[in-house]
Amino acid sequence: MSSKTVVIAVDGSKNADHAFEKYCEIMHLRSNKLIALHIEDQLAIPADQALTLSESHYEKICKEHNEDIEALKANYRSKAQRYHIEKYEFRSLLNREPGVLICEFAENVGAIQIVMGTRGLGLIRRTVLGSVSDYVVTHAKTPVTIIPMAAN
Amino acid sequence: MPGLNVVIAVDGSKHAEHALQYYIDQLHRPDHIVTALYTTPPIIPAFYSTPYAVMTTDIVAACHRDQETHAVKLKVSCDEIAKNLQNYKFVHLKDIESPGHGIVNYVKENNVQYVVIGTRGLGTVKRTILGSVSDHVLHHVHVPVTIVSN
Repeated sequence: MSSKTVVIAVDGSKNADHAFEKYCEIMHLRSNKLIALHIEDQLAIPADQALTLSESHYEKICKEHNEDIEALKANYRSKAQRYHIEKYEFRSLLNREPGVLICEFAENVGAIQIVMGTRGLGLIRRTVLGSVSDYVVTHAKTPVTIIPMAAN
Repeated sequence: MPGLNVVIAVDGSKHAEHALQYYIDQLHRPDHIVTALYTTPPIIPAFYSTPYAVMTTDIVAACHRDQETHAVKLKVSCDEIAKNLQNYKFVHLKDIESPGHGIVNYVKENNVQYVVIGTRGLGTVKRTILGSVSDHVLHHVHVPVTIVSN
């Protein structure tokens, strides 16, 4: 059976974690290739320090940023292992417009679906899509699966 | 292995047919128990009356027959698409004013764990990207929803 690619957008949030687990639990097929796609935000440099940032301080920020991504990568890798996902990849890409990148990436790899979490508001019944999920649902050519946080 | 209840919302549109086919080809898993769900509105005589013609019982009966004919046709085409599925059924919910609410209630009442729906269906405004029913279902069920675009 030919392998089908599924792209799951992850950002380290509880919503993304839950979406990842739920996908593995109820949707993953053994023949699927799962790509966890992480879109990096720009480095968080405090505005008042931007002009006077020392090289060492900048290096420190870069190092912390990379460590955060490594931790995120390890977190999702351990989930993939727990669910025995045989074909699994983690990709971290730098971009300002995550919605656009997710749609393009999914199209480029010929994904059969894009999986995303929501920005659930817990006690409020109605699930609320975050701006990225909302963008992807309305713009992706690839079918999109939205996985909300469990209500009950 | 416990089964997972999955609903594919259909309405007779090509989009819904495509969503069902896509689910079967790309998203189906052997442990999924599949329901193709179709809702129809109530036939209210007064609603269809005009100043010039009042709905007689004959016309009401004709509307019911019409609805039934469409439902049977849809069932036949869904059954054909789903013919190789082990666990599959077609469910026709009648007297449902709002398809969105009907689908959401069915999902809650039947422990449905996954919903598949097209981006739009019959009679939707073409310039909206996500049809009103798909939009309603997406925002009101608390289970994963796959929106299948064309």
